[in-house]
Amino acid sequence: MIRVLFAGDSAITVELGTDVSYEVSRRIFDIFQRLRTAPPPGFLAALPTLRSLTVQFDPLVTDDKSISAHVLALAERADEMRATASVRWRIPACYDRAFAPDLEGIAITAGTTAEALAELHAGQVYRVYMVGGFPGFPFMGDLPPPLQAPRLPSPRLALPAGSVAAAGRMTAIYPAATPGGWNLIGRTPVRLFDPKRENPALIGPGDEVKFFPIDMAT
Amino acid sequence: MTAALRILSPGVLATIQDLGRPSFQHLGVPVSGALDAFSLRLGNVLLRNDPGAGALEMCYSGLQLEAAHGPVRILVAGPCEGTIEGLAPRSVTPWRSECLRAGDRLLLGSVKNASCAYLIVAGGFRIPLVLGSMSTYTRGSFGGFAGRALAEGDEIPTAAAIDEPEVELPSPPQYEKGPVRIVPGPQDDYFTNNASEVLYGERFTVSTAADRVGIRLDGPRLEHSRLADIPSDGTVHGMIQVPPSGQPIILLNDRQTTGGYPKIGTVITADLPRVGRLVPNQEIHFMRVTPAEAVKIAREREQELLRIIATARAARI
Repeated sequence: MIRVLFAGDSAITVELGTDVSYEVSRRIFDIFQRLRTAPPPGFLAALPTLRSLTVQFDPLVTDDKSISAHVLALAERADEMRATASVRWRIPACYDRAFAPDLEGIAITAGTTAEALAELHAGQVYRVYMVGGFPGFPFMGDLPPPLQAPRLPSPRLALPAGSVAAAGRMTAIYPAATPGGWNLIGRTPVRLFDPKRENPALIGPGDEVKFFPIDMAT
Repeated sequence: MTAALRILSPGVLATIQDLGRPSFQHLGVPVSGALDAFSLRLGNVLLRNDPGAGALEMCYSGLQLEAAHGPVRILVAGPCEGTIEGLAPRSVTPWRSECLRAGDRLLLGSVKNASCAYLIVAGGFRIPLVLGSMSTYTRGSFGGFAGRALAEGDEIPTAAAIDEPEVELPSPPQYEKGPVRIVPGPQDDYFTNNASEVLYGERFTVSTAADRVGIRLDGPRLEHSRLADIPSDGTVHGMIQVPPSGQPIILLNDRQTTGGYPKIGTVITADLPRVGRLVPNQEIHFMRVTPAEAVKIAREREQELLRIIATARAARI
């Protein structure tokens, strides 16, 4: 069930589902791509998020009715469209204890070992639901149940750049050192965000990511 | 010919801002840009710049600088006065252009009754764009001048002034003084009826937690009717986000692109510059309007901008 919500006079938030799921995410991403390739008059920007798409427009040129109508028409076609080919990234991750201080704790709760969890994490293809919170920060899902753990009760003041993290059903990579409450389960040497690049974020919404384990030396 | 502005004292916070970078929000990059786009655009047009050209946003206090290597034409777009020291010492008033000769010093005082004012340079700053914009995102350390607030000793390349008459506005632009207008939603259904009554009926005070990310409001709390946690959705300039504490936060230019707290309403486009100018301890209250009313007001405000531009005249001695 699609809901169109007002976000002021120059944006709408289109909710494409109540739950967060691959299916909803695929539809959001389809609409997002089509808006960007063929923007309607007055279109300024679109933001795909977990279960909705926020569309920003110039109120001097167009209005919410025109933009809603356009987006809803795209949403209707989204079901019939084939899923657009996604980019799949292979991201190296080191799950060594030094980089994964929270992995042991999650393993104990799940009744398994840190090594087994690392293998499980790397054995899955994740869908990028959205990139937000910080520049280049990808929210990816869904984690297999043994890896699902709540956020830390108190956030760390600074997680190192490249930290591979997990919270709830999502896994993520911190592009830069920032405070955070996600569980630290690994580290990648890959640079996720560089404002000097024309396409500054390596991993974008709708992409797919698979981690492959590397050792400390690498 | 080149010129530059050398910073003698940066004041509380000075960053280069233009109208921001809206096209990278899907990658988590905040829009940034001027807190008061109305004054920025007006100042730029008066100096015959592109309306969205980068300017120096001065928060709370003006700065002190020196023109280096060549003449620079400036205009203070906002309520900030000062003096020019040099061969022809004189006072500087807002909304009146001045040509700084090489070696002249511009000493600006505090910004009065607003959080910011702009130093506009005719011809603009000669610094590289990052992701298509000259705006500074200090948290991410990119954009503007070296991705950070200006500091003593910084030398920012600018266009050199050409020989042309000075311009001025006969009076400064006026900002709305009544209630701040809001369109309800997107998650106004996450709040109790009482919360709406409070939002539109009570007065709030700008707390000291006010910066380019957002403004936290002191005063009555807004009560949620259900769990104050939603799957993250996109943020928009002027959204009023309410975390579990019930204390509303008006999101501004450097806000995170996504958020998981319910938003009870969004400030209308026409009132965004006014909200960007709010200072701690200022009292505000809100009024609800429909999106159609808000668009009408936005178009009226744009007409007002054009009307003000038409009043510009040659500066009187």
